[in-house]
Amino acid sequence: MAAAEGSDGGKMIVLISADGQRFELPEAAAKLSQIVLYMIEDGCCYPSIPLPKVDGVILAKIVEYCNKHAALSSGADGSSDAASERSKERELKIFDAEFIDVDVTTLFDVMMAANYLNIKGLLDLACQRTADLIKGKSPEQIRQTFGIKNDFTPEEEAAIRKENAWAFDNI
Amino acid sequence: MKDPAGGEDHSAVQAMEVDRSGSRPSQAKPVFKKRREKLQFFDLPIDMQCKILSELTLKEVVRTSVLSAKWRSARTMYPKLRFDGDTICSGRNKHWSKQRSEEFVQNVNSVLKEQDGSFVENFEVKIEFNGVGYSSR
Repeated sequence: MAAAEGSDGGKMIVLISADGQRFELPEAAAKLSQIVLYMIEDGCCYPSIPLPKVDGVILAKIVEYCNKHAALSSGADGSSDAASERSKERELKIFDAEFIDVDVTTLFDVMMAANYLNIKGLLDLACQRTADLIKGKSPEQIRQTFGIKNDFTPEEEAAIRKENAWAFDNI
Repeated sequence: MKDPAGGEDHSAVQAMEVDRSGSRPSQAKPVFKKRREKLQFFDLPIDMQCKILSELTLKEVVRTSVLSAKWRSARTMYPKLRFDGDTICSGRNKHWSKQRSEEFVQNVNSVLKEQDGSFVENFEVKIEFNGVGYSSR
């Protein structure tokens, strides 16, 4: 078997992170990144694709995401009945929820990497997660989650609350 | 007499120049560093900040203005201005009344005051008109 082929005979792509770590993944998974897809189409993906803007820790997450989504994408295993599609969708939803349940620093790093690599699904997931961390939370909870320093004096804060009292009704 | 005066003038101009450049620190921060550095919300590209804010309701976005001065100005990036009487009037003005209309107008104005319009994609007003539901886009 050639070095560039995976266990199932499909082509493998090698990504190199900013800190020199090597990640090998099936071409179908790598293609979820629009940037990598263009590089594959242009034939400049061998022997490896350097990604100097993505750290190894984050690239490991990205590769995990791409592998799972490529494996469970519609028609990946040849089956196409509605029931198996639905169960795959459910599995992906559960995977996404667990995958993105990370600290804010990792969340933002994953978001920036997804933006750079142009992986739309992952970018949407990370943005939605950030919004969910704000929804229904008190200002103090949001400050704590995102490490925001309150630079208002108590008087200034009270004035903003008063001016927008309707928005602070139930919080 | 002339020389020192001229010298003073010259140094004053120099001082002003230094001051001017000093008062404008570079805003350009590299987004990726060699070592992982903690990114903050405002380190994200503007379109991503916008995308995140657009997932929130108007009420949730207005609440964030109390977080910090930076967050207060982030409100202007919110693209959906949807004013609905049921969400932006307080519980004590649940039904149509003069007070409810006045509270509605006051709250809409306080939100619009913080807007410069550059990011608005959607503008919607929904309030009862003499007790009858009325909405306008």
